[in-house]
Amino acid sequence: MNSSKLIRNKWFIVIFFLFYFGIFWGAFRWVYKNEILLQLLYEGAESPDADKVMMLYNAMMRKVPGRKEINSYYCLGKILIRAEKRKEAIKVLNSMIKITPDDRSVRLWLAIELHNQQRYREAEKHFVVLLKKNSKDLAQKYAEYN
Amino acid sequence: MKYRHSPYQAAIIITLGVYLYYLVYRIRYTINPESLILSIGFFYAEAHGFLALFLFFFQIWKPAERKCPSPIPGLSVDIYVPTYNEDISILRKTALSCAKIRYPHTTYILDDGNRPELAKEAERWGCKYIARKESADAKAGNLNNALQHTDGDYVVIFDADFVPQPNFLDRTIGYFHDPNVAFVQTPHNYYNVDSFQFRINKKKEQSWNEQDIFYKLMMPCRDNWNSTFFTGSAAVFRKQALEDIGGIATGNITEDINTTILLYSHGWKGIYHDEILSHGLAAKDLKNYHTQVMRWAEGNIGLFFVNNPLFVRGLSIPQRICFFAVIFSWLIGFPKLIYFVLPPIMILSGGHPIGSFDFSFMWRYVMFLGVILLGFKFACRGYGRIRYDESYLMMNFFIFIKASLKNVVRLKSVFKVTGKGLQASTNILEIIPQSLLCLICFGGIAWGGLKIYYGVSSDYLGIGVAIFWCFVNGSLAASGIELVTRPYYKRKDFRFIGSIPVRYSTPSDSVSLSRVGISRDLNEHGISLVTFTPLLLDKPVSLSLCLNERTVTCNASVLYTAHSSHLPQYLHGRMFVYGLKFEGVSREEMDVISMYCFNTILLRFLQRFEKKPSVFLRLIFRLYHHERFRRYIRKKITIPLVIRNNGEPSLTVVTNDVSISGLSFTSYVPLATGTLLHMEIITPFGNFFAEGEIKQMREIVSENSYFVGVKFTHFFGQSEELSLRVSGRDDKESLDRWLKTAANGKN
Repeated sequence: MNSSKLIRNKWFIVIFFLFYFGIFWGAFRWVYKNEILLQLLYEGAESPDADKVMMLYNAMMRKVPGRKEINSYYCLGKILIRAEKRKEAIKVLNSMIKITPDDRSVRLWLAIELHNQQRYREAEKHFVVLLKKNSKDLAQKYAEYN
Repeated sequence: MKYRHSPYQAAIIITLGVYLYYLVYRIRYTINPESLILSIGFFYAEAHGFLALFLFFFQIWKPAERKCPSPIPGLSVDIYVPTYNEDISILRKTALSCAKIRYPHTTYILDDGNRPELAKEAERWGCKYIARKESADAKAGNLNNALQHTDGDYVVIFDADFVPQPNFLDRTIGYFHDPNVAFVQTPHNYYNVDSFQFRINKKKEQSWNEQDIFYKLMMPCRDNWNSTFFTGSAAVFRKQALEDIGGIATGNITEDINTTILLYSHGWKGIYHDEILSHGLAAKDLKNYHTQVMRWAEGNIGLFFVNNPLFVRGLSIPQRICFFAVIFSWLIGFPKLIYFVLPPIMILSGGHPIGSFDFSFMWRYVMFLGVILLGFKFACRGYGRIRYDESYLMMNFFIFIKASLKNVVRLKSVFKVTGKGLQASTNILEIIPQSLLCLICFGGIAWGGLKIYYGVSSDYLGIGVAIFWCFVNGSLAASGIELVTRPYYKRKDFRFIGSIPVRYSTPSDSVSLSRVGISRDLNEHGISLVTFTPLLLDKPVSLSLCLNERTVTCNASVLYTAHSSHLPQYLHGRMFVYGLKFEGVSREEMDVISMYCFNTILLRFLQRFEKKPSVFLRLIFRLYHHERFRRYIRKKITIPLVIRNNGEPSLTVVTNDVSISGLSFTSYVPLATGTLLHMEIITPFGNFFAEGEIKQMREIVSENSYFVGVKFTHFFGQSEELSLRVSGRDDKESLDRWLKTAANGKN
């Protein structure tokens, strides 16, 4: 069978693409293992496994987050809160604020978390920024947060 | 019709205006500093597209309108057929058809291959033979050598595979009334429609050839700017003009365009006569096709360094633009590569070539794409087939890039002759770029799909758009691979698609019992025959081919028969398809068949498959002209028809279409309207006899084909029932339905 016949063979095409997509699937799961775990924990109903959450936290905080990954860090923050890892959540929120200083929801969330941790001075700074910029929708955002 | 081209010109202006607006918006608001390389790359591709489109639209602004002048008698004309290694059987057709050109001339075979056997054959064909000891400057050198050894005042150049029509010089020599005309170029038409560069839809009677847009639109429009160019074959030259520039230009592998630029720079004029007067052989497989395209691309881009049209003295501004457009058009490989690889890169890397991929960008992008596609389609006056054009670019982009890079690094170009012999199967190495692209695109789709499935990315719009383009590009690559890896035809010579009446009989039949069938395709070696009675596989068949006024009689052996499962139930035992090989046909008879194929079957095929207006436009046209609609739909049924005069058969033809009220057929003799015809129509269900009146008659192919429309006036015996069955009130049993299926073939 010459090469032209081979690449027209239906069985060859099916088997080749099964392997091909299999390799892609494996590679994808390896490249995005943290993100996949993150989504799994974020979407899970019960409280997440603390060890897994910490492993994820350590992996993600090892690198500097980019603007495109802000959503992933948001999810990580939520998972950490659910796992009662509030100090780590504050660290995540702090790194998010560095990338998107204008994101009022994240800042409010950070301010409240700091307040709940009785770190009033740090919380105050963020409340001041929020009130300076625009206080009109703050009540609504607070309601959303709660 | 002063404003006939205004709608097209308006479309051109609108399209370019929208494109420019989009580019300005892109550079002002959408360059993404976070993915600068992707962003700049994408913008470059779009900007390149704008310049390419502008240059293309400039060339097709308005076609020149020319009337064929009457031939000048008494000129001395030489016909040159340069050859290197082409098969003698191919050259034979060219030489014989050159000999049949009516205008007085001398034909020269210019053999760079220096083959003694060809010298003998040339003498037999009535041609003179010129050979060189060395083959410096390839084809250009060969032609220049002939210019020194011949004394005609006008020179016609045909490639070795080109078969001219007898009226070639009658239609072109008249342009030399104007003393400034240096050359007259005619379109290249390729007769082997099974080659890679053709798409044939037999059901819809539509054909597409990658060079249609060039020869049917660009060249007539370039003629308007006095920028048409010699395309290497099927052209007539004034020898004085060639001598003025020192002969055919050398120093570049595309001697044709190089020569043209020199002629224009010396103040000569070129003419494009937009009528198919010769037929060549297209490269049969991808390898030879790529060899040809590579030579064109390499040579034309090389002009930038050899005879740059922007700086050569003596050219007008439109000429400079038109010739620069030729060079620039071959650089399209780079933007195409960007378009092809960008979507998968975007998915795999997560980078965005567009800064703000939002609604504001999307509506502009959609508007831009829509206007470009519609504007291009409209401005191309029916010759722009975007899907096929894109498919063509997909199969060639890598060759264009290779040619550009070879020119950049100034590698010496070698003139490679395009192989025109047997078709070879495609080697996987020839489709590596397309295969890789296919894998990358489908990989990109998988990756993007997984990103969405696992929720790894929330950029649904960006990934969605990238997946869409990955699918489009991947499908283009896959369809191209599918096309070029199809099982190839092992036939050496192309079979011409067309129906002629064929009388056949087997040894058991008496002479009076000869029956009539029709051909599906034909060449000098064999025929595919549709019959309404069975033939025996092991018995020879006696055939009489009705080739206009001449009948060629020969024996044939049945090589194959179409399996009955290919036929619908109601035609089992009524209709048969056979492959027959001629036996005992003399060389002279083979030449008669061959010339009939070129001068009649091919021309009728071209007429049938030429560009047609859309159904919608035809409807509008009819309503506008208050034309009557047919009461009964004419179905494209091809069956033999014998016209009788005083009971004796006088004309055997094949129908074009049949309905219960009438039929049409193509005749090789003109028939007067109003004439009453006595007809015997041969069908799979039996023969029926009718009388009809000719309602319309028009010439469809110059000198040998006339369309005749007949209205039935009287049926004899049970004929009306048979006629009804043939034209098929019941669509399930329509003969038309089956014939369409039978004619279907993938090219």
